[in-house]
Amino acid sequence: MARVVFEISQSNWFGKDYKSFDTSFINIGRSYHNDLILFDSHVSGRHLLITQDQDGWIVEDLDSENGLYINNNPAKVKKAKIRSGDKLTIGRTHLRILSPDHPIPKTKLIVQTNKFLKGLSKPVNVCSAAIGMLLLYAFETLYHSPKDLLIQKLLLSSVGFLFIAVIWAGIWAFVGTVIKHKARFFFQLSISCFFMFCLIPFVNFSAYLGYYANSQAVEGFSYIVLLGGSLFWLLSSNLLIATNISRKARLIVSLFIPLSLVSIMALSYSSFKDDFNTYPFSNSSLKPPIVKLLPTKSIDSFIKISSEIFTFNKNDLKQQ
Amino acid sequence: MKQVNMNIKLALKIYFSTFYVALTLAATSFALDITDEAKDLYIENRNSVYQVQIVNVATGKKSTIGSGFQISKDGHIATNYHVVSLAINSPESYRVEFIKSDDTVGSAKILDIDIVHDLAIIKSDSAESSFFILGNSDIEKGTKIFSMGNPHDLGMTIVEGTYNGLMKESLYKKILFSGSLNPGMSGGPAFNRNGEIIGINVSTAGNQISFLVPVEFLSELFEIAKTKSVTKNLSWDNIIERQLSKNQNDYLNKILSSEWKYLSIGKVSVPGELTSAFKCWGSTPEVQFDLIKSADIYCSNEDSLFLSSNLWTGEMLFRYKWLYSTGLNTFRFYNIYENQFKEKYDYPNAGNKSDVTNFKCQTEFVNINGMNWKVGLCSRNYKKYRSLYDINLSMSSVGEKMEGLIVELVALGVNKTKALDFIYKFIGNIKWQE
Repeated sequence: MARVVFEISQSNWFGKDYKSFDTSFINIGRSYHNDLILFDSHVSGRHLLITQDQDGWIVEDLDSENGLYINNNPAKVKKAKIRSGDKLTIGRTHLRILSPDHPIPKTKLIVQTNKFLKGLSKPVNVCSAAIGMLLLYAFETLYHSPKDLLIQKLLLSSVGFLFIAVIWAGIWAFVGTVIKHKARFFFQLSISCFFMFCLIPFVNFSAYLGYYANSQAVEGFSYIVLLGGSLFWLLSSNLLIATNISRKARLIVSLFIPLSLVSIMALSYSSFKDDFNTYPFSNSSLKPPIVKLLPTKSIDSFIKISSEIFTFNKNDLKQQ
Repeated sequence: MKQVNMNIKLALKIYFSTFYVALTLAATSFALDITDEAKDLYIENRNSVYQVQIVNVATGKKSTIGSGFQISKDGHIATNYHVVSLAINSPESYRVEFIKSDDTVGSAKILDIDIVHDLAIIKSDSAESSFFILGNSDIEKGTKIFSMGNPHDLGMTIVEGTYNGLMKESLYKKILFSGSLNPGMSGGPAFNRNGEIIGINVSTAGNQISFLVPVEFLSELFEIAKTKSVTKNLSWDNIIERQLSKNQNDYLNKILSSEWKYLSIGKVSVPGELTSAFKCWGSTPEVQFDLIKSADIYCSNEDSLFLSSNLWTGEMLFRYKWLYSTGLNTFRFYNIYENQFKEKYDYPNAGNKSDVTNFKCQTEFVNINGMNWKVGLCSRNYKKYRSLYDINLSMSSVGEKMEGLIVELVALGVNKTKALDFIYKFIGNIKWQE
């Protein structure tokens, strides 16, 4: 059974390596007669000697060029007593010395992706999400144009949006590569495309809701809820696939970003809303009469209600 | 020989430049008749006409120049409101001065103003003793009249032209003067051969189309101003507000009581020329698409009141845009329709935070004569003249799937009650005809 374990991490490499020894003396250095040979040009040929003690180890610097540091302490150490879990730094290499009885953290459960996400990751669905998004954006462009445009032109206009989805997926694929050693680019792409696909119906739904309720507040609230919700879903899915963070951490991160965006928007709205503007900003949305309107007002009652827009308070009338 | 020579010369002239010769000859003979008369009038009246200048107190340099003329032996000088407006709006920064024909400078105080007709009377103790007699503007069309003033600070000039009557279709009565008025001549006198004032120079549209304020308004103002003394500390904001308020009240009453003309646009009957002061123009946008067509009508009273260089008021205009689909489905049609509805008048009449508030708006679905409309009404308040508002009424029919009418009504400087009365009548007269 091993008497000592070294956890080796080097600055040019993200992972960690473990080496166990069952001898009482361990020589560490770059030359080949050492017990633990390190590939680090800043480590001396014979750098350290570790000797087992009753309840720990004695570490001794063998007159190395770059010295020995313990537990990130900036002072060089010549000889010291160390315990399990202490960290030694030689050259650019970090060594953690551990006894076999050193406690380990609780086993993490493997994060399960849900059925919906699993479905999205299938190649056929990745393709459908991308093509669906492309077509929907082309369709949206056509709907805002007074003339029938060529399909090539329409697709060209939506390729830009696909490009955004590709970039976003690329960023998360990179994160995945670093953290999980697995890019899963197409999975990320299908999530991004699905998110962008949902934006158009959500935006339109909010606009129609605001129009029929005759309220910009309702429209704005619906926008924030639907778009914020989608962004939350997007971020938490991206994180789930690319990282190993816990469910709780994932929820916090994906809530924090949409909320901070909303608060930045609210802040900028409140700071600019009183700025002088010569333009009459009235609620000017128009939607086709596909649903019967809520009860309309008579001219008399409209004129009666309108008299309140002639009341300005002291703050409005303040002369600069 | 001599005769031949002359004949050859004449032939050459005619051959090479018939037009030139004809014009020269005509001009020469015309000028011969007139120049002496103008010269006499100029000599006779030059001492009673001044250059009026508004001088910045801090720098001692002039900021505005115009003209003015004396109308009493007590030193009353008539000019335009817009010439002296800087000294009215910021009396602490500007003072009024006038320059006599002998280049001596005198200082003057503003006595009274008529903002609606763009008149002001200033008074000075150092003015000349000669003055103009105020006549009347009720003279025959075609009568020769003369105008004096100092265009572009080039020196005092006299201009001859023709009286072409009162403009019938103007909201504010003005004389059409066929002669060249130029910047700097504002406030100068226009008089007949006997030297009696007919009007006051006020504006130009270029190409010999110039306008004069009829002298009757000056006589009215002078009657009031005579009794005033310069020492009285006047609150110009209140005076201006009272005059503007009365003016909008009068013209809105006139609009409300007059028989409106109606126009047809698409399937809708809408108000057109509300009074003779309104003119309507129709157009079809140059860029038309195969799948959607439109037609526009634009009506306006084409008249505004100058308050300061950043603020004018008194204008009223309304526009209609009829849109109909010839191939778009209702969703696509409404997308375009909505974009058109979002385009609003941008209120260039007041671009300063110190003059007006922001707009406040109210939007409702309103049933007007059986058709559903989305109606938005916005107003903003004048900060110095609290009873006055700029109004925007924007409405759009929302009951039809493939066609619709957008209406925008803009009224500048109206009060609340009159504005709402007017809007009530205006909206009530928009009728969908099937």
